[in-house]
Amino acid sequence: MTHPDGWSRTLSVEALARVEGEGAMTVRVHEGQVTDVQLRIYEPPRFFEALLRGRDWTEPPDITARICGICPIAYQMSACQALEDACGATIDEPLQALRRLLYCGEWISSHVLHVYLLHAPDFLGYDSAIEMARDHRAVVERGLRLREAGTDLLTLIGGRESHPVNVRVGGFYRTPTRRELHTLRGQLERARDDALETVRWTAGFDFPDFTQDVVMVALSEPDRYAIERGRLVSTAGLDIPVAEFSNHVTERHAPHSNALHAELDGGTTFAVGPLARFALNYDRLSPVAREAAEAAGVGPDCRNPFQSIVVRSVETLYAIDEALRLLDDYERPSRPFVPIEPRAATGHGCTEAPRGILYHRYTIAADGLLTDAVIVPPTSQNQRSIEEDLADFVQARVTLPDDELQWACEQAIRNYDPCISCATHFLDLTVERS
Amino acid sequence: MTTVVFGLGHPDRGDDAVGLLVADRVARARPHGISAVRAVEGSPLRLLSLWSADDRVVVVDALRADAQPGAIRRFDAHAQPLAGRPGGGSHDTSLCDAVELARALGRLPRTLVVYGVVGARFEVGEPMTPAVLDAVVPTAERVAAEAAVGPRVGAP
Repeated sequence: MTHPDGWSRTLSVEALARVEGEGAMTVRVHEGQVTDVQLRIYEPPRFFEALLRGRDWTEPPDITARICGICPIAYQMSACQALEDACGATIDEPLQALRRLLYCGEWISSHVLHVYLLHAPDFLGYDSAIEMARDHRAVVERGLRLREAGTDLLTLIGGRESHPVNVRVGGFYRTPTRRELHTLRGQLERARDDALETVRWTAGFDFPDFTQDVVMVALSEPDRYAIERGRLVSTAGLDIPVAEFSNHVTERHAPHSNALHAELDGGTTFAVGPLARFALNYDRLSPVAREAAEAAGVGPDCRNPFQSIVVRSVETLYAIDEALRLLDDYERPSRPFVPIEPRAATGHGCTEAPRGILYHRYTIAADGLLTDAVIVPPTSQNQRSIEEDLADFVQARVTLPDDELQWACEQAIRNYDPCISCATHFLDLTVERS
Repeated sequence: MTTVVFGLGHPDRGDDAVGLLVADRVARARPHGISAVRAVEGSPLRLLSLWSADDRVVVVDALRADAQPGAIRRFDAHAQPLAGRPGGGSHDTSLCDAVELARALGRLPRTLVVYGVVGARFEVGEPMTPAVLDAVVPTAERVAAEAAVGPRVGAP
């Protein structure tokens, strides 16, 4: 059924496909005007924060890694950073470099999963990667090969692909030898070629004419593309240490969702993730990644969330290039971890998960037990931005038939690579025209 | 020819852990005919690089179905497609997605039998349903029997 004037309806998308985790989305249209967009998230929030209170100060890296099967390293790195901050510890630079190398593995694995299996089918007109694979076998094989380069890196350093066991506060339980790491070199070199092809491939997709006018927030470092540390900066001029996160980002409860909605500086909607990193750190990409971005026609002024698939592809190329650099520079650290004594204090950590900044804050008591834990994942920070995107996007397409509008909405949500498992868990989608 | 067994799941999401428990049980029993048992807590996509074309494979995972918790279902992936809801499961892609992707790419192993144990609770931190826990031993026994005689292609 078409809606020549968009009149009044509710589009309800239950069981939103190809997002990581599940949830639901409702768009209400009244007399041709979008009146409400709600991204609903069900899972009991803050389960892990409550679970952590009363636990030993060394436990968050292992416990929080269980929140997400896609980005466990992000949780481990933010947790370690916060706990080390609380204890006043400084981590040896070779250990920091190994953490960055491990994080590159997660970026590669996560980004490639999203680009090839979750997002690309939207642009090529397929319902799923399985259908796409029947017609584009070589392309999907390239994606699986690329992803494996990331997971093999994760497995070698982290101890296993999912929920890695080798990370601890202060460093690692065991550091790999240079010889062990170099077994991955050939695979990563091939992956770099595949990643370059991926940038060219995604740059050729047709993108809806849609731009997002929103403040973007990311970590930033002076000399390199920020991943595992940095200051928080924004396109609106914010420039603060991670410890001030809570002074500028507030969370409020939205009645329709179990995930909290984040706002910047008293009510401003903001976005985190690849487009934000690109906007704020583009000039710190490696030359090969920057050249690929330029050839693909995406730059720091990219504000079309549909082009995030190209930006993710460039970041994949960067992560592989950076992994090769780190691998070449690697000498086994003189010690696997820095010994740290707990103290009564609060610490802050923030790193760039594939989907955007992931903030952790812990308070340790004198007995070494945690008295407070706060975790703000990127998907909950993006939730309001997703809803506002949807309202604008649907308004311009309000006369589309329900099935086409639903498809467009789902595609718009996938631009953010929402990890509902992190924000919470399961998502389902609805459009109401009344 | 020997059989490779994979147990899939998440240890902290209630009944989703059942595949891991069955794999552990099979590994401890070391039944004849099984060459390797692996637990896969991460993406089922990993299966595509863990099995090879000549392998006989049995996969065990939790199942969402309109049936009693603990009910055991057997699927022969060569006899029929695995129909699952998109993105189902607490993994990034579901086992059904991974198997059907392998089929589309011509990367299914020689034989592939999937045992699904119907679960009821999949939320983080929830305990396993007693009926699902009770299904661990009989499922492991069926997997062992499968390996001993070879997968019965087409069997219900």
